[in-house]
Amino acid sequence: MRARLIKTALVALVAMSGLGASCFSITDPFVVSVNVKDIKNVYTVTPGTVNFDPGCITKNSSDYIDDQFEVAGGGRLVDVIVKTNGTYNGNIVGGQVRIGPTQGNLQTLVTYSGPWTAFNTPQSLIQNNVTMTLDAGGVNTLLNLIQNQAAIVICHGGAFSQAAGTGMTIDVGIFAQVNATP
Amino acid sequence: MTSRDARHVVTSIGAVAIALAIGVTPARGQSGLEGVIEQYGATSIKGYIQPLADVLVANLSLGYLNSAPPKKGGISFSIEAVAMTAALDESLRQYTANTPAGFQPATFTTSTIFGGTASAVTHSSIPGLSYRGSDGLVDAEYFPTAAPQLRLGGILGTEVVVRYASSTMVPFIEEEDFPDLTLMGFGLQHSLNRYFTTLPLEVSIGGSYNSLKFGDIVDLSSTSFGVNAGKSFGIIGLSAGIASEGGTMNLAYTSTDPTAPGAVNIDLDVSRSIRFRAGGALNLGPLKLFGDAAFGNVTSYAGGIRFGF
Repeated sequence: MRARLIKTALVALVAMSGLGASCFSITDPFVVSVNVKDIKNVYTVTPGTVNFDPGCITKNSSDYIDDQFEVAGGGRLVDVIVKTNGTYNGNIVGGQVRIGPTQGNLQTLVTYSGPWTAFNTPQSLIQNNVTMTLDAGGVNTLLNLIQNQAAIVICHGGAFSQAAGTGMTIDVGIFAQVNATP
Repeated sequence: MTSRDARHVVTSIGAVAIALAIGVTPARGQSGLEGVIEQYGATSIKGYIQPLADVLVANLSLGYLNSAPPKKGGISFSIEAVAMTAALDESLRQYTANTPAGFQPATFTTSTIFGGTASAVTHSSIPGLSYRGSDGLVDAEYFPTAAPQLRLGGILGTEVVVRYASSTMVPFIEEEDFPDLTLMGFGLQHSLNRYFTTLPLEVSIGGSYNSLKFGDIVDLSSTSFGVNAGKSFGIIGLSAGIASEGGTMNLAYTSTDPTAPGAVNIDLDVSRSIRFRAGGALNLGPLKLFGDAAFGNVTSYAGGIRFGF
């Protein structure tokens, strides 16, 4: 009786260990929705101008995805945010953010317009009281570049209803995600 | 195998089991767990990680009481290896997550850390915008934990249990690739039969405290206290009890969430809950085999082996 109990208990213990080991694993592939970072910039407006084309910046993949992650496709655009800094009584007319692999190959991602003061509070595609419009071609371009971990050129421009004053800057930020494995 | 070798093996097994359970990827500088946590802000991380806190508290509360409570008698000492596992039911796999402020819909259902492939949600009125949670890290029906522990009994009807495991005790994993993991626990069980000598069962009160730290991100503590009753029938011991369990998981990290970037330091509360447990033990001289099951908001099981005198 005692020997049988010992044997049964030991078999049960070994069986439980085996069950525990076989039933547990880390998800493979384990896909993390990585926040693409730092696709943003502060553009300085030149005083006295009506049309503004403050320029372009280039973000390399090392700027926007940590090297601990391996991109596994499946990018998403979540939002684009525009914020103005400084005092100005006029309006922004036809503001636009353009995206591409080079300055010679750009697609419009977002157009926006409205009172400068309205943009003193961040305005975005999903939270705004101004006009902001998303362009599907720009979205595809952006996601292709991110998924291929290519350099992204972001350009910004538009016009004002009257000449710009001094100390005016515009922040543009892009919130995107990409599927990646750690 | 010497006793030193045996202790090393037991502590290694404990540390590795816990490390695997919470998603360490030893071959890389940062674990999968750390990698995914950093994608969330302070408010959005809760739903994803809360089930891990819940099952860790449920697991770590087990293993201290694994037999009929102590009788009067001489000093006893034993070394134990105990493994616990919690059943991962559907309520631990999915949660209602918030999308970024202003996004429509405002919420969607996606995976927790135990939930498998995550789902994405498309903006209801702006084509081209979508949002997705991260996959569940753990693919399992049960979530295991393990710990070596020492038990000292026979002190005025009281047993003291100490458990400890550390990843630094695992000799085959390079320290720089393995975020430091430390588990400490302390349990007490005191017999009431010393005061109520006519009780038909052996009745005791007990409590435990656990601390689990993983890297610089996760710091979990839990407490448990309750009443236990049992009886021995020859080499078989049976016991059952009721316990109140709860805890807190602190997360400290730097979020990369663009809507809530920067330093995050939050406490996830594991609400105190009542669980019932029942267990049995086989007393084979210096060797004891024991098993436990606990039922409540989380169902968990424990089994182990004790060697001592």
